[in-house]
Amino acid sequence: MSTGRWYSVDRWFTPERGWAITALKVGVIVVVMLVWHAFFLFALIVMSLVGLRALMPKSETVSVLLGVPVDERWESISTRAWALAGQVVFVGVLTTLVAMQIWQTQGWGGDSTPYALAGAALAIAYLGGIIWYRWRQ
Amino acid sequence: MSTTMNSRWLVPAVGFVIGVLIAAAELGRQATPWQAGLAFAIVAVYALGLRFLQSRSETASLLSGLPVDERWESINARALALAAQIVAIVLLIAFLGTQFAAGDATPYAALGATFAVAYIGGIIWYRWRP
Repeated sequence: MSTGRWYSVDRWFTPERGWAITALKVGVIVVVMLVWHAFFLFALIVMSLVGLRALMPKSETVSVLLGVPVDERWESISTRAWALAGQVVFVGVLTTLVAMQIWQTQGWGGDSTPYALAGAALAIAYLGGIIWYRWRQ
Repeated sequence: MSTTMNSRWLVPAVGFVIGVLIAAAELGRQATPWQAGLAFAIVAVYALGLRFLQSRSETASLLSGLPVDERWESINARALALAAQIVAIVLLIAFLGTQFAAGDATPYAALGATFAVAYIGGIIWYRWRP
């Protein structure tokens, strides 16, 4: 055991503490990587939004993507694109839900709850939309 | 005429197929025949109900995928768009919530990605084919 001053490297980084020091270094690297990963994802999202905002006056498509269609034609395109996306996802959810129910009979596992919830939310929102627009016209 | 008849039976037929599959899956998971029958009946009654109400109710006709006029087509498109936007927000919240809870967020990520691809694909499609 070294007996140098408390701030001396020789005092702490001794061969007896080799494993502990390695584990500490690995831990620090993992934390740093996780933090960088989080920052990278954050920066990616922020830069996408800033980039879209910068392109907004130049592109009608970008305007729609940011929820500000420039005229009635683009409003119609946006509405139809949303409606198409809703139908695609509903068919996907229903297919996955039924497939997972069948998979579960084979013991292959898998949790179908997220798909059931998404399907239910879509169905309720769709029925609510019909009622809303039916009485508001 | 036959096309109209086919269209009228499309949603009930799909409903029956889904009902049969769900009932079969229930039986495969050691459910009682009564439980499987109930699972089938819920879907089948809904599908048959829609079929019989199609000619009497504009709403039932719309739910069968047959809007009676342009007004109902517009209602259908806007209701679908509204539902899609609400579910997109729900999926985003579910994804973030599951991430914070250290759960498996893959289903929400997959559904969100499908949403994004379908929406952007829809914009490109309708942009070039108005």
